Amino acid sequence: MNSHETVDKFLNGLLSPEETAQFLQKVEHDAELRSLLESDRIINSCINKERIQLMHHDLSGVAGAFVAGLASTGSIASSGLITASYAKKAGMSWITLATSSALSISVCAGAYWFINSNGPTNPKATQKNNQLIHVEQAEPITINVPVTIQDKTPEIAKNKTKSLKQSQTQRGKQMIQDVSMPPAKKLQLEHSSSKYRPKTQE
Amino acid sequence: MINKQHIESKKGIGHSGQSQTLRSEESTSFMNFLKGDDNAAMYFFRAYNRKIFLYCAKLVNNAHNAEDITQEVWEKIIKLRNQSQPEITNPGGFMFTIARNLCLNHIKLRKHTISIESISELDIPHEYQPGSTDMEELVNSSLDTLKFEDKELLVLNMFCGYRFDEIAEMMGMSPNAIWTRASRARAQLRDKVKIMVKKDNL
Repeated sequence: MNSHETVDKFLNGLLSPEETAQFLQKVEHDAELRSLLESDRIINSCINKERIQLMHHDLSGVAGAFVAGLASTGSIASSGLITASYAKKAGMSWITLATSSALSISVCAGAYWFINSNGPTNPKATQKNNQLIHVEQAEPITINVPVTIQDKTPEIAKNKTKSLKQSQTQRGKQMIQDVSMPPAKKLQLEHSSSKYRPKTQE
Repeated sequence: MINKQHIESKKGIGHSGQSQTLRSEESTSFMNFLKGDDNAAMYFFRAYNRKIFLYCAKLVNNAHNAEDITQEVWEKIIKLRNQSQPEITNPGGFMFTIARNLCLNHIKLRKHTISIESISELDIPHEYQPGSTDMEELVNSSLDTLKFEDKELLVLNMFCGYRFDEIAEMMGMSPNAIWTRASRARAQLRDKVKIMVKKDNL
């Protein structure tokens, strides 16, 4: 049994009382054994320190994902409170839970406000509008209405008949032009292998 | 390694009565978890979440990546819910196997970007911890120089708090083999620390 094995057995309590006594006597005189025990102590202290740091690592994200995963299977999350209680059980802190719920409420409220607000959100635009309203309220608009108004209906009727006549004459000219157009070219199929190929006859 | 030995085999392995009953209870509750029992799910989450995180954190040397891997482990287990699968007799081993495979995948991916041969042993990247002494850094980097299986064993023992017989049961190996491997790994660590202490004293 080498010194490493003896140290391991001693540290794990696997030595008999007699062997333990012998080992302790050896340690007093053997510098090698003492250095091994010392290095073991250093390893343990270093690992414990790191372990404590990792034990304090926040795993709320994992807990949240786990509860969400359970919820996706459909067995829980029938209500938000049940989900929250499961999340708490899974290790999520109350602060994280409260923060996440407050955040979700604020997001919902913001979305509701945004959807329901019809007016412009730009503050400059609202300021301009306010100025316009103020001007309108400050100076009342006056409209000068003439006392006698001339009746222009016969003139309008005359113009209408003139335009109708003009349009009719234009249409007649177009019809005459259409009739005098040359006849369309007839199509005849060529007697060849490609019987579907059209050929024009002059 | 820890692979398909968790899944029930007809042969059966001889164990002490108490541990066998505990394991069968755990196996039953794990099956309940997979069948949709949320209380069983919470029990397993609370019992194993931190241990899996510690295991992953030391194997991949990064707490944030470990958090992601832990979350992935639970996602994989939740995906198994409401699916037909053989009885899992060793839930702890089963969960650690998933974590181990994910860690190995992560390490493989990391190897594509960093050549381990190109850097010296002491410069092997591990998570920077503010306030850690040279000795702590040395212990961490020495742990990283061990073979993956040896490192895994020491992590399960020193960080996750499993006894060697529990690790042996989890890995499906004989306690003696586990003890020998752990002792050898520990001896390597001690030697490295001893050299460092000697250098400091000179």
